[in-house]
Amino acid sequence: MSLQNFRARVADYKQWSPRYQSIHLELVEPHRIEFVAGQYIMLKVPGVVGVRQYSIASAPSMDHGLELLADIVPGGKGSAYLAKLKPGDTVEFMAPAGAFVINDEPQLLFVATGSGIAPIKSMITDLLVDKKDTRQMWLYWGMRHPEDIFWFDNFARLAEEYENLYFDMVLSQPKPGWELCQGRVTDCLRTHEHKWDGAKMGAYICGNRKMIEEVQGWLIKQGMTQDRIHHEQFY
Amino acid sequence: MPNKYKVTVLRNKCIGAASCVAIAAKTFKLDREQKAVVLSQDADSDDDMLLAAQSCPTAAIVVTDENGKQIWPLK
Repeated sequence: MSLQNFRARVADYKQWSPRYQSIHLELVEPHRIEFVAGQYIMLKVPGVVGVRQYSIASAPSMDHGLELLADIVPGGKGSAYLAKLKPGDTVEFMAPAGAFVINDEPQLLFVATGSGIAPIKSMITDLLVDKKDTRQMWLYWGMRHPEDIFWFDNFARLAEEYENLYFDMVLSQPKPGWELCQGRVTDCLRTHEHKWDGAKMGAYICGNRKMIEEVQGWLIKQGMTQDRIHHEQFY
Repeated sequence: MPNKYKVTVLRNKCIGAASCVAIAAKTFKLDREQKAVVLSQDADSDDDMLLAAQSCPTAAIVVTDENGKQIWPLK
């Protein structure tokens, strides 16, 4: 799968919260894409030298289009461009790119914060729904506030349907009555470590640098080796 | 003919996004620490080396011309 130039049309977008927006693109030319779950596109932003990276949130089985997720808060030029797009607008990008893809470890741990869930959504959908992968998987997704949450039902449904997926949503600033994990994702990971076999597991971490370093450090203390800890840093 | 551009990876800035590898696979690869390293200065075109540097989300690739002048990131 070599890098190709694509033209696509915005088919739909959803503003989940003031901060998070997902965009559905339909490919125009070429009209099919081949990629590995976890990879990203390099979006050409008019007036900007270079490109902006956006992980593909949809699974490779949807080869006629892509779902992207934008975190609008950082105020970057790419985010500002995506935020202004309307259905019917045309975008150009190069794809696929990236080495954050699933390996052959017997158990899989996914840890994301914020929009870091995008490539992991692609991976989990690909593994469970399309490939019927039976490996044990754990997903911990950290957000700050309850109003930031989206795609919760999507993962909750998958966890209900596929018993090899365990899903936990972690809020660092929950409202009273929040019954799932609270604090940082590492706080939540610690409570479940007894279920894991560190010698068998591969970890896939996506989000901000501080969280990645913290989770990585903790996993290494649990006996995991660096070569089985895979990460994609977003900001 | 050798390229007029030379690339250098600022290892401490590299986050292993691998966009440089996607664009200029004969010039860059990721090492065991998921950091980009330079394989060759002449295997991809100047345009691809520059685009690879411009695609880096952390501006971890410096491009200089034959006179040693920095082309990217813009100063």
